[in-house]
Amino acid sequence: MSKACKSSPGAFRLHSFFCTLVLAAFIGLPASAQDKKPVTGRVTDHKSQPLEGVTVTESGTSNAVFTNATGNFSITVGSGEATLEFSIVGFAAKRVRVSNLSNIDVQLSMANQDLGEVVVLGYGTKAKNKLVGAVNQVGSEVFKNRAVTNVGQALQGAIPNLNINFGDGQPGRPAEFNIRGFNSINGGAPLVLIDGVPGDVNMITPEDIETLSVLKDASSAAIYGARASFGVLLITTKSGKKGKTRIRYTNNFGYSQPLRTPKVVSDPLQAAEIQQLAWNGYIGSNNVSLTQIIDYLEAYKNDPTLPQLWISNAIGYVSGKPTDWYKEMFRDNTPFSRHFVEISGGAEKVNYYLSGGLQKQDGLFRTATDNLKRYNLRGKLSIDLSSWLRVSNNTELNNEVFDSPQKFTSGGSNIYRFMSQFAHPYQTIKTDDGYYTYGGTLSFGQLENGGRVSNRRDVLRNTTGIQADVIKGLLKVNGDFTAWWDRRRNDVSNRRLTYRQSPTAVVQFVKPDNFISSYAQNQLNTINLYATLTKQWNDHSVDLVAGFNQEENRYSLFTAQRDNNLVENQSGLSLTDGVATVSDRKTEWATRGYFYRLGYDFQSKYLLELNGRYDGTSRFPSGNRFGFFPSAAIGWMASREKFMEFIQPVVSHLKLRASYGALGNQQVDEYSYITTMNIYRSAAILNGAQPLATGSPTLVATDLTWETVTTKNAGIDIGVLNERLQAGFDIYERKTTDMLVAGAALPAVLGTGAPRENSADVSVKGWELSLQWADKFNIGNKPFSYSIRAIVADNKAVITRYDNNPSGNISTYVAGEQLGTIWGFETLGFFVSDDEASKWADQTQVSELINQPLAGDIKFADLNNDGKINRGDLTTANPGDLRRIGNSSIRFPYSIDLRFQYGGFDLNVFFQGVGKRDFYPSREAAHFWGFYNRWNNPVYEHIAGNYWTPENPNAYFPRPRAYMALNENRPLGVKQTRYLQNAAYLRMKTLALGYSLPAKLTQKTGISGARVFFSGQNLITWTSLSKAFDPEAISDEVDSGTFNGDGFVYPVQRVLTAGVEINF
Amino acid sequence: MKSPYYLLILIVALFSCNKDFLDRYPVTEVSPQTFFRTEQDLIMYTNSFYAYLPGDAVISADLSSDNVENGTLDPLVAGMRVIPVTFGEAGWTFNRLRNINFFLANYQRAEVADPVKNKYAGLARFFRAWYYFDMMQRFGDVPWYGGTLETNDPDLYKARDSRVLITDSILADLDFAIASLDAQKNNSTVTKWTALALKSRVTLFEGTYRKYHTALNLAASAPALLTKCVEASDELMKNGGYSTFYTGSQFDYRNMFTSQAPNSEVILATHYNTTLVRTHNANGIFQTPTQGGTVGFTKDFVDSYLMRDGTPFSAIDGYDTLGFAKETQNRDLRMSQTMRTPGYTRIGGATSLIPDFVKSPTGYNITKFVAGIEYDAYNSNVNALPVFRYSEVLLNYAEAKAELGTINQDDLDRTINLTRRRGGLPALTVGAVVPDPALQAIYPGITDNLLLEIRRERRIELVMEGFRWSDLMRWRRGPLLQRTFKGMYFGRKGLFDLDNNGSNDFALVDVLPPPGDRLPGIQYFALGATMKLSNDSKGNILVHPNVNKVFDEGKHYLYPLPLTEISLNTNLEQNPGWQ
Repeated sequence: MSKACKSSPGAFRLHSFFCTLVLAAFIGLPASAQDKKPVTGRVTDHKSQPLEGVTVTESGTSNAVFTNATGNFSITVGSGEATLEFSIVGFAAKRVRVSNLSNIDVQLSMANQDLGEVVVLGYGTKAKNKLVGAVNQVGSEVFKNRAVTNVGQALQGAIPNLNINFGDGQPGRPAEFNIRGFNSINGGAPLVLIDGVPGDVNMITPEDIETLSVLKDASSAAIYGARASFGVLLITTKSGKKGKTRIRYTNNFGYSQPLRTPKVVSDPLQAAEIQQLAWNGYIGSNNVSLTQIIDYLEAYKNDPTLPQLWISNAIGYVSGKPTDWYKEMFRDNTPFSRHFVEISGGAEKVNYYLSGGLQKQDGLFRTATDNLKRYNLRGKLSIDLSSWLRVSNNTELNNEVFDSPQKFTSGGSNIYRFMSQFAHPYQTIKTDDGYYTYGGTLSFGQLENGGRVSNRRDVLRNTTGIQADVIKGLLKVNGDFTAWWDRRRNDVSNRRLTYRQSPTAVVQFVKPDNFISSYAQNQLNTINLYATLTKQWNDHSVDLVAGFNQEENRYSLFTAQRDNNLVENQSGLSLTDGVATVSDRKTEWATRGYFYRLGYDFQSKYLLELNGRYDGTSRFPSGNRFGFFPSAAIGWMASREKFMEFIQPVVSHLKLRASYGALGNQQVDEYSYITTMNIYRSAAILNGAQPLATGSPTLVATDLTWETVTTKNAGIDIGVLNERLQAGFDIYERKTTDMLVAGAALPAVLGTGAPRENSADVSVKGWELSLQWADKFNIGNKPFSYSIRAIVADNKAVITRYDNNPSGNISTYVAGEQLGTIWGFETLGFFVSDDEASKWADQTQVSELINQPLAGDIKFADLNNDGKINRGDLTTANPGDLRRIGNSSIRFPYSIDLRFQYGGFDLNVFFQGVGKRDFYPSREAAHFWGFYNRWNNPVYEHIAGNYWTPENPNAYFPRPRAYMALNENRPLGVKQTRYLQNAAYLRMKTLALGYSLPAKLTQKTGISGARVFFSGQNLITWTSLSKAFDPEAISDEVDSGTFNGDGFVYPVQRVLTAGVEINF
Repeated sequence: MKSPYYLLILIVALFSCNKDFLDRYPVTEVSPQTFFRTEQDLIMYTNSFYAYLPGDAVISADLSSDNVENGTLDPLVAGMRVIPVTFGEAGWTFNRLRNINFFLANYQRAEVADPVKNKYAGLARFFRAWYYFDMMQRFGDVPWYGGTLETNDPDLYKARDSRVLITDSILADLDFAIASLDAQKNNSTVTKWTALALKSRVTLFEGTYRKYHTALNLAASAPALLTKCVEASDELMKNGGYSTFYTGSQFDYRNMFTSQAPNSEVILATHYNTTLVRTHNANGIFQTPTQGGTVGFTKDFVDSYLMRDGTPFSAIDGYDTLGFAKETQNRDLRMSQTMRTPGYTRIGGATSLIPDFVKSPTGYNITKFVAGIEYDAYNSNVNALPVFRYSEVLLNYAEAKAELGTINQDDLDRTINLTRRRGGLPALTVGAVVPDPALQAIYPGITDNLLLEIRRERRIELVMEGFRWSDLMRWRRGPLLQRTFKGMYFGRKGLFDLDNNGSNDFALVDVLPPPGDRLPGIQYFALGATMKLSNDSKGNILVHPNVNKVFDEGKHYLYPLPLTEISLNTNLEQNPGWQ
């Protein structure tokens, strides 16, 4: 199959479709039998509207069908003795004896509360109405038919306070998940469990997901202990259901386009003249190189036959013929395709589910592009060995290959950064004789010739489990063992670049020339063993879960590097002959824990839940390694009280919940308490080579222990008007205490950082609200159903203890400060005259430039009236003229989900946004600052015509003056009110329109249902953020720790696709 | 499969697994307990010290001195230093010391012969001496730590030790290093000779510092230190086998700083290599206005070059109103190898270039360390940068002897007459020194004209190698920094023939004319709003005409201590004038 893929995308699509058909033929449709009785009918809901997707099962057999969009079904049963079962989530199941009927119409009623939605919890499930923790669950509808490449994209905005961040738009970029805001100074992330054991949510295919639960508070997460201190993402994949084999095929084809690429002034002469102004504003005289360029461009206007003008390395080759660098860099449309096939079903003792997914996406670069391929395979099988014992197996195989040009030119500096220095309309990418220019080679040449990066990842995960009904209806025992291998192979080649330096010289750009191959394997073995006891009597109901969990993780990395590539278009260690280096790294950790959950309720009215876990980890010294973390939660179904009867006609349910609990956090380095000496290659050249070196170990404290995460949560759930309106609200406080940070400040003579101690606390307070209205009515004689769901959340984190900063220095964490606080100066505007500038407070400390401020320069407020604009002691007590001007935290993330269905059509429009966020473009954010950063940066459209001149005193930017944003002591590099950006946004994330073909049409072809759909991602964005940034990609390069500058990232894209879904 | 109780067996099996399941230790990093066994361990550890070589800091250091006028006013030179908050900003860092002391606390455990051990201990003590020498120059008194500190060590809070104790400790370290290091010459690693060169540098610094900073009341101990300088220098001169680099070429001096392989004169250098991607940016720093700022030599420095016949430039009538073409004629040959003079061409370049005023508004472009045009791409230089050079030792020797009053003709012939030879200058003769009033003016109180000549030679020979600031500090000549630095002299504004080839090539204007009004082939330089000529219509270019620079002698010879450290350790006292 993989060979066929490579031939051509078109051929591959055909091929895979063919595969699907062949597979379908092999699995086969159930063979016909003797003495059958055909039955047809229609299923409707309590309002007599047709119900689609109802499972119609012949009792006691695997024979089953689904109703179609009009609610009709057709099944052949063994005999008139048969009984049909009708079931669908949300409705009470119904059984009807066939007897002599050949047409059975059934009306289902809404499920009563006790039989309502079931929510997946740690080591078990619970009816939603008995839930007392803060848990949200979504189903497969979130992942269906969308032009998303991973689960994270589909989940953005789906669950309140589940925050998902990508950082840029690179194909396959994994999502970073966060639940309920800031975790710990040491980082931390939610625990992701797939079918009960840890896995990587970014590697699985969205279509495999049946439900996804988010456990937010301590009471719901406590059972997972130390790894779950910042919440749990609980994913349950689909399983085979008893009944006829079901085959589903869906695909998705389309293309993506870059959003918000930098817009540079297109007129070469105008650009050069504005740069000259900027240089002049900086130094007071003209730039000789620019003068030459301007003279040349003016001459070129009259005589377009003039040859390219060579200037110098700083400017490169200049041409009168304009070049649009960003247009040359990015393709307009890049293809995207997905296929997914699912085969599932079940017989009396066996259930099976088999699925395969395939995805291909090309990247944006025109010169030498990147491409992503991902293959997913899942097989699930469960067998009932006896009436009380079931064994099951769940295997997942994921493969991802991302092959891309090396985007880092040297060190960690990426091509976007270099583009931001050379993308002038008057500068050429290549010279007339086909060589790259200096600027051209550092961006385009880098992509084409600078080497490639191939990241290959293989995930194999296998769970084998047994479930035993030890005492039927009372005691169950579950055990499972999972091995998860995650292997990454990274091959990186770096190659020297050449460029034309002058008409007579083609020279090399100094950078590494090597091939680096690394292979990392992470293996996690998990054992779960637990027993579930459930008992009901009279009005009492008890369920108890108790068990044991153990995890062991082994990581190993092997890296080999050799310099000097010998072959032009091929890379490999064998194809190099320079200095060779090999290195490795191995780390291990292990945890072991014992847990329980005791649930009790009285009349399903008073609910109680107690959780606890006794947890140990290898990450702390043996004396401090175990901790006990308990939690408790209570709930009250108020609507069931007699005295509340009066509201029941309107309010169908009303529940109040509260929980409190503590969890340990062990998400710190593996060997925090052990001293080690790192061995590295020295930079210094001794006797012609760079030898290995090592140095003194850092100081470690030997008494490290758990960070503790304590959560208080209160919530209310309400259903109104027969559940048409549903609302949920939660409010919480999560405190992370004893965070492992540098201990109390010690004198610098110590010569190393103070060892880390458990000595800082943070408190996060927040809330979340979700509202949903769903209803249906008839238009003509067809049902029209619709729903609208809105969610909004918020959280705010405050450092409550930080011993390492007694003076309250605001450049680090300060006790009492809100996280994300942006300290800055207040901008009063621009000086209106040179005289005003000279008489104003002394601004030298924040305008380290060679000339004094003049008219058109930034004027800062002297808040403390000391005649100087400064930062005081840089402490909260004495911040000079700084004040808190904003906050970079994401506040009020919200989303709106609209769904309509009429006839065969369905429409889903999904908006996602952030209500409040401030952002200050840092000094090197040159897409924003342009020539204010460096004079030779391109002139952007948002700056041209929008800078101060005597004629344009109300412009946004100050007088043109280079280097004003070069560093944090320059007038634009310092954070200030005027250029603080409002990074709030609202984005139409998804628009999906589908049409289900009429059953009449499809059934003749043996297809039980077919649907075509169109889907778009990121179609419209509303924001007042500068066009230099995408609101979802305002940070720096994701793949490098080297500072490039805000916004120098792979562009976020709009994706437009169409596809079909066919059910056999 | 009859009984569920089979499960119990499984459970028991699982729970009985090993007790040390949660014990996990690192395997790919070494621990201090098992290290320090073999000579290889000692080599590997001491290799880390070479990260402390100054590298390209050497060539940028003089940008903060009276040799160079900086377009961006240098707070150090302008007297605008502020009291730093953190230890990082202040340079009050002890990480290197900890790394060195950790080695010294552990190397004895190695199972190798004592002389081998001592060799590496000598290396560590060399770097410790150097570290403390830097700290003492910066802060004066500093706390001495001979071992690593623990977090509860009371010594964390001790007061500073006197510079006398620091100097004695430095010398003890150096004497140990000299006795135990290899005597085999090697210009990329530290040897006995490197340690002697450092001793020569330290003792000259501290000897003269104590002599001229009379307020310290340490002048009496100066001669002993200067004598140690003479002894250390003399041993290196006699037994080191180094020689001044001289082939007779008029480019000897330039080539010494632009070649990748150090020559016979280099005792220790930082090495660079394209293949190893270890490069520096000298070409960019000294040529590209956007890298390294706008920098050019000061007129004062340029004037200090002697005439080729050995007479002072100030002896020429009207020397202070000579134009560029005239003032650069018949000067010390090293001038044209250190800055752009008429007829200057790049290494590997064919066209002659006039000064670039955009890079150097004073008109005097720095060319020392500027390698061939093939290294013009950003950060691509591979020329070795000197750390210790034999000529410095010769100059140290001569100066120490002159300060002691014991210098004789033989000393001159062994030292500065060798370095002057590269400038094409006649040998200096004791008793026949021509007094230079310009020199006397900048070093008032020095009556020994020979000593003044030695100071001149030091400034010329070692320019851009990072000595000038510390020389001014030890000679107590800080006030030289607060002068308004001057640039090239122009008798008028308008067109000039800078390279004296008969055609105009340069225009000095107030405001740049529009493109159509400019003459072809002329470099226009506009003074603009901030620069001016010293007498408005004529005079020397003044880059910062209106800035009042300050050098407070009660304060500025030392750096301030960081505020946070003073508040953490109440025994730490701020340096005078900075309270």
